[in-house]
Amino acid sequence: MNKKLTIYSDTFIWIKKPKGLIYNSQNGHYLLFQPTSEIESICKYLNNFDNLYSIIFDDETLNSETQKFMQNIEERHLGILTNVEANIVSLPPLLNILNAVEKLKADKSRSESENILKYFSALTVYTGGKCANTNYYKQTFYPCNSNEVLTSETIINFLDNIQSQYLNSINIVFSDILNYSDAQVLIDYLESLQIPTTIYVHYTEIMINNRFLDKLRNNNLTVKIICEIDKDLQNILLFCKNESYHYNFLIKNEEEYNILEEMIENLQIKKYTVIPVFDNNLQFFEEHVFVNESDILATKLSKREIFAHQALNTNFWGALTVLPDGKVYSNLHNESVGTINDSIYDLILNEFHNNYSWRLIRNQKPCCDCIYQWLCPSPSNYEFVIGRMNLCNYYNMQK
Amino acid sequence: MEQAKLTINDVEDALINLKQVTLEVTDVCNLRCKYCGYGDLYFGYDKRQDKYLSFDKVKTLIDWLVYIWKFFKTVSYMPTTTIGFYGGEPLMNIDLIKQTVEYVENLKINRNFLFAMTTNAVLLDKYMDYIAEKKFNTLISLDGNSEGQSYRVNHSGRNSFDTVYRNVKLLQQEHPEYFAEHVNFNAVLHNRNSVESTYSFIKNEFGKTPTMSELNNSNIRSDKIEEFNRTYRNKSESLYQSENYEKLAEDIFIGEPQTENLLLFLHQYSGNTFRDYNDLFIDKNELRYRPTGTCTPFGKKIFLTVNGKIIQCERIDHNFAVGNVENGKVNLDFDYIVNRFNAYLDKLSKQCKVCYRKKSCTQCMYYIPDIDNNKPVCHGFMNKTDFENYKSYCMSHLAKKPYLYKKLMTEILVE
Repeated sequence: MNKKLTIYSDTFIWIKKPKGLIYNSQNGHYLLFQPTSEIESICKYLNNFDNLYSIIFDDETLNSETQKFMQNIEERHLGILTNVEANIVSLPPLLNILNAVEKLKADKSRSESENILKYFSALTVYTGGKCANTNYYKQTFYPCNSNEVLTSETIINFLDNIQSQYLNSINIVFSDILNYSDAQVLIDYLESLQIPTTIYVHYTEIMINNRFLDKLRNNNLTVKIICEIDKDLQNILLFCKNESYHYNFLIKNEEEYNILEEMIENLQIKKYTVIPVFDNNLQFFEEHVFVNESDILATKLSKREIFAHQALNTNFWGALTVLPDGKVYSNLHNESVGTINDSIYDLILNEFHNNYSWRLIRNQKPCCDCIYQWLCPSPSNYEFVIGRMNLCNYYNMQK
Repeated sequence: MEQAKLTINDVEDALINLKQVTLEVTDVCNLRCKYCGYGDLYFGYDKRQDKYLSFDKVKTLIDWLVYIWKFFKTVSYMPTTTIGFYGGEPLMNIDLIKQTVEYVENLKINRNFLFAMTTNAVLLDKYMDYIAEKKFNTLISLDGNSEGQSYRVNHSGRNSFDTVYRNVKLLQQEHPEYFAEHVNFNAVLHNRNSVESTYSFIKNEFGKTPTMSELNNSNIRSDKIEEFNRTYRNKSESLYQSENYEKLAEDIFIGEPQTENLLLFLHQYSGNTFRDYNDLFIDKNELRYRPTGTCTPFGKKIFLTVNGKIIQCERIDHNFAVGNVENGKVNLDFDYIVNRFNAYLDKLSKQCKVCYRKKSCTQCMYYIPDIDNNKPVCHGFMNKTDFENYKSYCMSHLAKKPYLYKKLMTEILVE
């Protein structure tokens, strides 16, 4: 008997042999399957946009596996089986960004530089100066050790030139706030901008600068203290703990995590974030940071969020970082997009031309061969530091 | 969800990133088209008094805009602003057009300028070299063949077809590359032409697909309603009456009303269309929205009339002017603009709250005839049944032509 299968509009069908996945982004329901040749050809037919996610088939001619597949789709609320006359029109997910760069390039009357200022939303400035020499600043907010220092004046000039209403987050990471001249001038200026701003300071500096940092409480700024787990930390925090601060605890292994847990309990710290850092500790990352298949499937993603993964990098999008030498980066693991002397438009355009990070998506191996390609979070700094483009245990287990 | 109101910031933003300045360079026209929006059939425009816009007024407006453009950061690196010339018949004031073009070309400002014009082509033979040299985007008003063009008559009542046809052919011959790239046609539908005849004529003669508009159905004088009804032709009906409907519908693609509606529907309701990359971070259900199809003032253009009035669009009643250019000054009170706009929104808010199309409204409130009354009635209002019908109208069209889905979503470039 002829029947009609229609897949629901918010549902994605992905086949990456030897696996297939149908995922309903409205309710998180899914079906993992083996794409036999019959099932694969059905999926291909459904994925042809001209068929509007419907297929008519003769139930009796399908093999039992395919029949089961069809039933599963309906049982898991991924689609509906009806008689052939049923008047159901479904719209398969088809991302259409009206002002996508490729479309602007294709239109002679338009320019790819249209509206680009609105894409730049977050700025991080590393002031530079003398501090511990690690590369953690390439993973997370962490002081950057350098001979060069970006002066208050330079930073203020740069921000003055940006003058963008779309900039909605500023991060200033101090390396050596004690010896940073005119810090107060910079702070006063940042406050006058009325843009949410976070000041990052390493915990070893708060003993000396406690009074200065305390004053920031009066300003409309957030202070975050970057902490590493070592023998001094508890004493320092005991002495300088301030409820208005937010603490970023960097951890490298389970032992540090256990110490941290106890310390948080002891000191009753309320506002904190735990941030794993990679430092030749792959096993720790594999066990605690890498995602598993169950993690991926447990995270319900909307159609919009899946589209975002397909079009841009949700970690890096809109962010620029300035290093103490004045070079500007969209991602610290790539070439710079210019310097603080360039116009903000040039910096953004360079990122669009080179695509270092803002539109860095999982379209390369091994992720492009995985059914979870678009369900996985966008590539992050960890991928660059670890030197592999997938932070998952799933794909490795498949090999 | 609370409705978003217009703010001064919205208006300022629109001016900083202004896309088009339209200048009504004269109210004089060398034709007397029977259905003209400034003719006997309609009200709601300043009396035509054979006036010519002065360069002083144009310069005052442009200088004021340049000040804004220089002072504030634009969202685009090198924004493009089109200077559009409008009439009357704009070529009747070619001197002002030339002065304006020269002035704009010599502005020292980080901005691209394009020029555009809507013309009846009667004077095209005289000025075509200049128009082609400056690469004007030219929209020629032509209602098809001689019969179709017969409402477009000169002051003696004579059909303008022969003159217009000859001039357009001349332009095509003399400046073929310019013609191919920058010239388009608009035809007004009425009881002496049809979608099919107009399309065939312009396509065959000039290789172009014309846009086709119906007669404006707002602001019709009460004593002219019968005449209007006699003259009016509905685009969809005209299309369905075509001998080769399927082929024609395919050729004119989104010019076909149902396909155009489908495009809008897919953009608004498929959940697959996003204006730009930033929209991928925004849950639209959480967003405050402005329940109107009315453009943000100056969001698309600023229109300067021959009398120095500033209006947000040339298509709306001159009574909706929001300021003027007078005595070397631009008088625009942003508070007034915002308050008036929001006051109109407030008047409609009761209807908007229960309207099923409120989040994707296409109704311009300036087209609501009784908008200045206490309880204006919105013609765009949709109750649940209306909305379901609208949805089914679009989806049944798609079901008949499923190939349109991919085509509309991937091939249509919308600003």
